Amino acid sequence: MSATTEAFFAGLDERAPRIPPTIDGTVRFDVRYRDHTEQWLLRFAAGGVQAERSGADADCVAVIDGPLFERLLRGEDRLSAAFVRYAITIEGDFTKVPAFEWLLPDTVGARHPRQLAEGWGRSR
Amino acid sequence: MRNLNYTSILDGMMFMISDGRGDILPSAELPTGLFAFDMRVLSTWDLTVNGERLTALSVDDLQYFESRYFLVPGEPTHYVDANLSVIRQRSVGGGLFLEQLTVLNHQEVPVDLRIRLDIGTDFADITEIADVQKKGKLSVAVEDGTLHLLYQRDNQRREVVVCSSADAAIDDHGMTFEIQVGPHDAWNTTFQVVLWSRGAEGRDIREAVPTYDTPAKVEMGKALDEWLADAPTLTCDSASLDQAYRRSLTDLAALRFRGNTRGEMIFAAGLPWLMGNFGRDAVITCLQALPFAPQLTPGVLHTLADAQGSRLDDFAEEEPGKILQEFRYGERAGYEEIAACPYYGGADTTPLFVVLLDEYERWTGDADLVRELEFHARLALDWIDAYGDIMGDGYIWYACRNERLGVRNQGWKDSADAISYSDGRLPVGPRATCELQGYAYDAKRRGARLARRFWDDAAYADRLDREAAELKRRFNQEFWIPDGRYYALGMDADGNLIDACASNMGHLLWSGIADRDKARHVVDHLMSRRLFSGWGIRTLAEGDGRYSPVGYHNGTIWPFDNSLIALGMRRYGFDEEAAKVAGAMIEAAQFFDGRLPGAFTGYDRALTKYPVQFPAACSPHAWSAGAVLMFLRSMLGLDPKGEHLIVRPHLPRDIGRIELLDIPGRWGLVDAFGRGH
Repeated sequence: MSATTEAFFAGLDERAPRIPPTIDGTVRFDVRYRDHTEQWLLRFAAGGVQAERSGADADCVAVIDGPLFERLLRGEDRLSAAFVRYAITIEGDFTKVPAFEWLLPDTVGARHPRQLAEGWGRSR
Repeated sequence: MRNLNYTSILDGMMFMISDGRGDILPSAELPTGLFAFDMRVLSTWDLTVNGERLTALSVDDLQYFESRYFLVPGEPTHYVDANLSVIRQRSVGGGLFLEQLTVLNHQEVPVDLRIRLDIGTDFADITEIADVQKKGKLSVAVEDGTLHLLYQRDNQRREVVVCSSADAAIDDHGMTFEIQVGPHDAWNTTFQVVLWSRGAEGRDIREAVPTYDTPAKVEMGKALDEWLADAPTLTCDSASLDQAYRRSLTDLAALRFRGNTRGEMIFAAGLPWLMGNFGRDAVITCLQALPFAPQLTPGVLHTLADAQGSRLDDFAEEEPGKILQEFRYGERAGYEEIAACPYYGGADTTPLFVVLLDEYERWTGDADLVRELEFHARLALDWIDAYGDIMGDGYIWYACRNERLGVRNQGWKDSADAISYSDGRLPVGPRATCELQGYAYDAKRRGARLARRFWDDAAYADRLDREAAELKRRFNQEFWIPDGRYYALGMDADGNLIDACASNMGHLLWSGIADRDKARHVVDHLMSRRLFSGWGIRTLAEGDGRYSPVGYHNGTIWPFDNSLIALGMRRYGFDEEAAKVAGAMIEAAQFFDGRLPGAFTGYDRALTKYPVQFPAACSPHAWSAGAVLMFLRSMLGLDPKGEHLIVRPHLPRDIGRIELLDIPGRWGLVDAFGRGH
């Protein structure tokens, strides 16, 4: 069991990411490691999300390698770029793919644009 | 592409640019080849008969996705042997390229021929065409009577499969046909080229996309007919306007493609350099097309909302609520060798998203979409203050956070030297260009209307209205240059005005942020000889430090820019000036076969007599096609008011009569008439 993944999903309630209330349905991630696969099921409804370990049917299923998935969860990689370079396989309802992006943290080292204002005469 | 030596066909994300014979050979001028999703699928497609190249007698553009070449053997300098002719008819569509090759023998005796088609590809990404350096491995295989061109990088595998309906001798570099054609007989074969892209699971990635389909040519023709039939019918005296209108509608149809997530139609920004989803271009094109094809808008808004920023990311220049500027699907985008997957480096896309949502409702009465996208529109409005306002002073600013691959200027004038002081110096650090403030003002006003009418939130509406009024007051004080009587192009990070005299201030009329008493002076500048060339309003005024008639954002003329300005002039009651701009542009269109390019040069009309082409411009270009539609709107004075369409024509003097029938909207279908005065 991946500690990164476990911590990410366990902390979802506390982080309470903003999620469009129009997103409704399920996404399953089949996260592949050398010797096993971990399955995570996400249920989106009414602006919220619940996660559990489950292999149940979902509207959308994404198959992804474990190390890449963990990089996404740590803000070290990008979902859509990984998809475009064929590192993720997605089947089912594609509208559920961007839903997952609302859960991801800032990327490592990211700055607020206001940080670029420091030192200029106009900044307040 | 408007270059008589080249021809192109296009269907959404797939296009082919070849020479006038239909051959693909290396070119320094243009990215010749067959491309799909930014990848070159064919870089060699070279036909010879008995070792000789062919000469084109004529080329027919049958549809935007189909063309036909009539050819005879021999170089044009030689005596042309009319005993043989060759017809190549080709199309792109549904992820396929098809070419039917026909050889006709006009003689009384049979003829033995060696037909050779050289075939190959370099798998170049369109963004690296000048210097192709592939990181993966290329190979070729001949299997089961088909030619396979392969590219492998990590798990990613691209395979171009070429086959011929007639038997061919196939080698690694092409196909050869040793044939005999009888007296007055014909021989033919059909080539099919398909690109397979396989991912980690070894499956075609498109199999996973539920909306993937392969419309036959007939269906594509039918879809185009329906698209044209759904648009309002134009009858007019001006042949140039008539041609430009038809061309524009067809070009918009050609640039449409099915978005990945929802399968709704969105469109590419321009051939060949901007084949992807570009937020700014898509939103502005939708705004231009609202009176003609409002059905384009929901797909674009949905697609942009799906990819709305949700976090901070310096590489992508993403912030919560921000609307993307660029999404490309090529190899270099996926591997982040360019920032485009997606890239959010645009400070205007987010307010413009709100402007489009409101304007769409005003035309169509589609309140459901306004309610559905409330979350996204509010988040976009929040972005203006939380992330756009870098300096904390109430204006929208931008500053590039991806120093290596990002765009320094993040408005529509996005080249590195596009924003300058009048003496030519370039600002450093964050900057606030004037048109962004207009967009923010307009977005807040429109957001207030949506909040009051549809979101049941009067307090929020009042707040937005207050903020908009305050922004307008301060902007008119702080961006106005009293001595020159114009709005500065922008403000630099120390609070100094970036004082170039540029077309950007015309957008302030479109957004409504300009004070009434200042608008007169703005229009005088826009129509002065420094900015108005006789064909249109230049991006930068003659006499400014960086001005050049061939400066990409520093002197050339952009039809889309002019279309927003003309509509803005009408908003402030400058009907005569708006008509003059629209009239000049419609006249200019005839020199481009009705297809306004992305930009053309800023030479004075008296000097050249015709608008001089700008070599690197995209064509067709979505928002230039849209510009023709917006000029029609501004000439006829079309504007929704409640459940009605107001028609207040003011036409250029010499354009004659214009009738636009069946304009769709919340009123059903309405006709508009006007006559040049």
